[in-house]
Amino acid sequence: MKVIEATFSFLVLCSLLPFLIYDTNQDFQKEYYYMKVSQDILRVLYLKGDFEDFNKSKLNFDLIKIRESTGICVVIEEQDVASCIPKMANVVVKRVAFINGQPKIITITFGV
Amino acid sequence: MQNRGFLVFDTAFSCIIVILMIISAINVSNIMLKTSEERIAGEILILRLYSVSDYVVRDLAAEKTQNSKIPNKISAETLNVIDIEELEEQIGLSGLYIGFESKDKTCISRIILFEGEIKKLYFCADHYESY
Repeated sequence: MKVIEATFSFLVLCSLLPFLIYDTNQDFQKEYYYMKVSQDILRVLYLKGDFEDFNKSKLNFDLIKIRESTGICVVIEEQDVASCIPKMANVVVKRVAFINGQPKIITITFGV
Repeated sequence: MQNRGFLVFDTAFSCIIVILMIISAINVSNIMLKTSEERIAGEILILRLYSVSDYVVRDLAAEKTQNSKIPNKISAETLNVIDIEELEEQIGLSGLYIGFESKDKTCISRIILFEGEIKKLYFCADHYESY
């Protein structure tokens, strides 16, 4: 009887194994998207020259344009620049920007 | 004799449950396998689209200076030069589309500077070909 019980328990465990080992990494595409899109946004902002003179109104204008087309909020903490306030930060990067002629580290947060 | 009868009944009952559980586990495994295959196929397609987009945005369609290229800076002239069919063949994608409108396919988008304007460039494809 104990052998039957042990076998039964083993089979129950085996039947549950697929659920336990099933990989539920569904966020792969989302993470990859945020990584690429944050690189693109930084690149485009550099190309627009937004980090050279650090013109806040120009930067805000470009960030709002980016938010309109992608839905992504970009926040630059130290300079109080934000296209919107994200509910969740997906990517946070630190970059050097020239602010009033001085190189300063800025923290850029991307989120939705 | 009566005890043995109960034992046989118990065993038979357990066996039926075990068989049902094994059948359901096999079914669930099959469904999971199919879902995983579809998910992996989707991921491969997305990764290939990102590879194409990297190649296009950083090299193929990137504006050229005398010695180098400017990633993410694209002009109509450089965008029109892209040979979609050749690219499809090289990367192993079918139904590749590169443009400013999203299509009813699997799509990814990249942010570019097009003629001085911030724009979203879509890369779409139907499915990928195995190497």
